[in-house]
Amino acid sequence: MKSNTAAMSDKFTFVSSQSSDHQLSTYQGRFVCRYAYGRAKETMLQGEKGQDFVAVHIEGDTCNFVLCDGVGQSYQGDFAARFLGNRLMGWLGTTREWSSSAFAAFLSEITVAASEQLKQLTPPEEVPSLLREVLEVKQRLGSQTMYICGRIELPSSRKKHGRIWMAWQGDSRLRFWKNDAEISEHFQTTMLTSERWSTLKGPIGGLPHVYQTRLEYGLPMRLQLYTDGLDDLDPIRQVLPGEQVQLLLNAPHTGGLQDDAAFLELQW
Amino acid sequence: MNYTIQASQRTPALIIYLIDISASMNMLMDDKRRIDVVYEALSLAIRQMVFRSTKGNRLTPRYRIAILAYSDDVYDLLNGIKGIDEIAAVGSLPDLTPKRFSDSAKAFRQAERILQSEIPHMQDCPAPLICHMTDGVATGDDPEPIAKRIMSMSVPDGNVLVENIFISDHMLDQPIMQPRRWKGILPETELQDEHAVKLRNMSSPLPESYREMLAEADYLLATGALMMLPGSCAELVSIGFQMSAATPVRA
Repeated sequence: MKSNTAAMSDKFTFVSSQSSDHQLSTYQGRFVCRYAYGRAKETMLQGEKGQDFVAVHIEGDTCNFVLCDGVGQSYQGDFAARFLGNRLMGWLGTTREWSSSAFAAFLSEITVAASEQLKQLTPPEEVPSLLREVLEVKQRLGSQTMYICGRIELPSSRKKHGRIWMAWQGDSRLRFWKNDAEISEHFQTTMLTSERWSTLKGPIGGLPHVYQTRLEYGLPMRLQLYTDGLDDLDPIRQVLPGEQVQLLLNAPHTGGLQDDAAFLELQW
Repeated sequence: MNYTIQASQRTPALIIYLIDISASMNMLMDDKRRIDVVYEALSLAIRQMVFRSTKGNRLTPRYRIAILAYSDDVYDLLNGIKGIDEIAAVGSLPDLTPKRFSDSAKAFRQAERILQSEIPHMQDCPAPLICHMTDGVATGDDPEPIAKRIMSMSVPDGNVLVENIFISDHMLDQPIMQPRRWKGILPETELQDEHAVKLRNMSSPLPESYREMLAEADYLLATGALMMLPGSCAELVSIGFQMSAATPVRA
């Protein structure tokens, strides 16, 4: 387990590489941030890219984060996850007043650039003709990803109230603890596999879910996000030691991960 | 026992097709020979499996398939069980050529032997599925007792599923005008044909997970529907073959 301590400026950025795994690591500043990335065993053996994506940027009292789970059955799900993840980080870094409608509009606007880039990713020539035909159909249907993103602005002794804003579509896990009590019920009914972002259509299966609340000074909170490759975490409510989170990522009981997994936990 | 295990490279689904190639399969349906309608529907189901098995540009072998064509004998068209990746590499299915009779009991017996040898190695896999397509009364032994034995075989995911596609214009008292809105054959549905009643007895209830997958493709079969389709038009035959490939897979 790696550990990074806040530098004087308290700035920290992590962006997962889809080509390699990242062991559970911890950054400690005003936020305590734990993050990790693991590819499915099948993906690793084939030397392919993972289809998940996770990124976090902390600067003093603020934190922007994104977690995406590319849809394996869409065309190049890793592309949608990476493209949307990077665009959302950019949007979170430049937007100060959030609204659901502006967010949904942004998700639709970026489909033009996404579709243009996806067009360049043609199926390889050497694959069997049936597979190539299927891949070409999928390319026309676009690349899809599920996502959770958000921004946290912490309260301080000078600024009594902070705020958290989050948006999501899909079945990745979003869990929230206030003073050690889990308050994730609000999110659970909205984590739907049928809801995604598509390079072709923008949000599909419904509009993005949005949550915003004030943060009180001095109240400890924990936010945990992970993709379904780490669903072994679902029944665990307490803070799991780093070694045990890594054990779930190594998944020795199944000879490796069955699906790609991205993990991000923020405490303050 | 709820048919929710997802087909994956490590836990592939096994589907055994039993295709009647008796002489009557030369008869026309929608201006095509029945055998050609079946060939196209089976090819489409294979294509659907390829669609559901790709990750990136790679085809992961999430499905394993055997195709047994039967007349007075049984013909193993793939020469054993083949992965969907191997089938895709070949590109097309072997030809289906109609012959004489229709001894479905022989075909079910061969499927039973395949399952007896495969099931011990499939404990973490989705429940296997037999998809039987016929257009008439079986000659030879009664297939029902063998089908019942097969339906009692199981893995932790559930009992082996048996699906029947019966190409017939006289099975239901009313034609199905809108296949996509059709609710399916229920245990109490009145059937006009004795052989259809036999095939219904040999058909498993449609698992909820399969029903949901078909709903995603806009086929609205009702809860409690059986895995039985009247092949009165090409679309219904196609739905039948798509049903066979509706094993849950990871999105």
